[in-house]
Amino acid sequence: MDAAGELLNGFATALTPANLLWALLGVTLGTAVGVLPGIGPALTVALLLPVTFRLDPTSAFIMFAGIYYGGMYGGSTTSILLNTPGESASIITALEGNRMARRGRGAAALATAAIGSFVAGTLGTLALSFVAPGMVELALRFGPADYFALMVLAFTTVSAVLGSSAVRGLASLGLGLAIGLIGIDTQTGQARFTLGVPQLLDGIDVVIVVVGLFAVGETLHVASRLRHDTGQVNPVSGGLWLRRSDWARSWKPWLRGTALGFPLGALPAGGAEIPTFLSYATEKRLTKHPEEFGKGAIEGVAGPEAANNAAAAGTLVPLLTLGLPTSATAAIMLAAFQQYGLQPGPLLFERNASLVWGLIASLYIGNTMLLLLNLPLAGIWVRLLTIPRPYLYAGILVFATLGTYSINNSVVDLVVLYVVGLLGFAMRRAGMPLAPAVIGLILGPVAEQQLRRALAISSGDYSVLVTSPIAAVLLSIAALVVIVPAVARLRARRRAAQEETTAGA
Amino acid sequence: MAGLVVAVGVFLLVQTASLNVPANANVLGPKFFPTVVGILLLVVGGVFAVQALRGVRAEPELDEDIDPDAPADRRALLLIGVALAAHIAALLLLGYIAAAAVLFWGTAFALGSRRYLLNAVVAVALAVVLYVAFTRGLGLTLPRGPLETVLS
Repeated sequence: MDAAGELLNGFATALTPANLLWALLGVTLGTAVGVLPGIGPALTVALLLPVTFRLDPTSAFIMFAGIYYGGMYGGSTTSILLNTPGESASIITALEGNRMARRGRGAAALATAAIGSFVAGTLGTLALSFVAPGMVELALRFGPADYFALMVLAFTTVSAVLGSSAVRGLASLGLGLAIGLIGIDTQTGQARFTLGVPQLLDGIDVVIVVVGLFAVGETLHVASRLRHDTGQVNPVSGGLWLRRSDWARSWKPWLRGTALGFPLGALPAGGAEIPTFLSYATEKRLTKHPEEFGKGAIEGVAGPEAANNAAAAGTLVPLLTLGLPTSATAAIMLAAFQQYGLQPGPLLFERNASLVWGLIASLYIGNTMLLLLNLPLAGIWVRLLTIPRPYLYAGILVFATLGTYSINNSVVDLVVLYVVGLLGFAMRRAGMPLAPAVIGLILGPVAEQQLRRALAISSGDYSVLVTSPIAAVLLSIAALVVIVPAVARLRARRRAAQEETTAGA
Repeated sequence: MAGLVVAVGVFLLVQTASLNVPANANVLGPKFFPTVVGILLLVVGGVFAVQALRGVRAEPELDEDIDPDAPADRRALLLIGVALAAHIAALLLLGYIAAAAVLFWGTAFALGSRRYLLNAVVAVALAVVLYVAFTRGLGLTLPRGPLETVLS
């Protein structure tokens, strides 16, 4: 069946009253939790995972789709209204959006973000619906060696390219890989790195690691350096609206942001930061009001917000078709699939077609719900920003421990959570990014399996890793990604040193 | 931190060396991948350490509630540690509601909230709501103590 037919079937699944209710619950919870300061999209999804434990897989993923988009949207509200910047993907939104809010144009900033997210999310989901089947065709031709190469590429781009320091990114990746090794080796049944603790034989649950790194680590970090002059919230009353001139200045940035965000998000390199930065730079160059940039230009909110959401839709392409998560949030979605015994990848589209297309259809529905929910209700979300910080972080810890405990009803899991939380705190102090650790944790075991499978097929001939053209290309890109920036940095340093000596002479 | 990265690498390599590889393991046994990860950690940790010694610092991550210039507040960290430990103890002895309430109250106290009574009311109310929502609404089982028995 073609994509359009499959998509119609998906809508038939998603539009049942019960599933509509789950979608509504998902976007509401996602937005509410995502608005809270200190909780990014990845943690939103991880904290709300236990809520879906007892649902059947289709309903659970429909709810998940709502949480995913809701969490993204909630995050942008925070960065516009709170006068301190949040996580890195929304720095740009904060840049112009917060200035707008301070000039009393917060409602317009929120509105252009909401409508831009809707436009980008819908177009991005549309692109996903039609790109995914093609990717599945391609992915079916992938052998174990190709998959292994793909994962190496994902490892290097996520850790070495994104973030400010390649060394810190790689160290974070390595720690994630190490945690992923704990447990029984699937091929030989050998227990590895369990230190004799029987509860560790099954490995450490991804949800525990994410909640530990992000929620417990974040709370400890905040506790150690609490900002006592809490940022003031810029007031927004009533609903949101846009003036005619705002529409005129917003619609092109929305479309350009989408065009940048989706393809870059869909690449196995992934990430939403680069497209938002690119979109901001583009709008700054094309605007007719350059004097407003830096003081609250609406284009600077509309474009990056659209890029961010389109990239979020794009991220689902490698996740669903290849089983390859390229952001921390996508990695948790993958963990959610695994919890139901489902492995995303080309076979998922064959075996669980109704689930996948129901999920995609509910992305359209969730997006529409978000728009309807957010334009009139923005004033309510804003209230969440005024929660006293002690209550906010106490609540985060209560939720984090509850979510962890309810996975296995085990106190050992709580101890693991605390230890991982300490690790997350230490990593934050050292300026290490957390996303590579999460990706390493979840992709590490898969990469090992594919590598061993490839070598078993070739009966130990290592050249199999590079003889497939796909694998060879992917591995060379991975190598370039690490080497080129390092060489460039070295050259720049040498040049700087030379100039210093010439200047000194 | 660099030291920790190196330490994990060493741990992986030492533990890997002591693994018994069963005879049925084919070409690539359970030792190969951990060895690669261990070496990666050693190399990266080494570079990290050199950078740290040379005084290369990362840009501080941005965060809504973080004051990057504040000195580390050890007392707050310690108090949260106590609250987390008390949570586990209460979970085993007193049931979920008491455990969640203790954690909430303790964390709020650690973060500087001094309205003891109000905090206690909020903590218990939240714990009861969560308990009812998760056990009745979502069908999960949480540890029951005297309080939970009254509720059901």
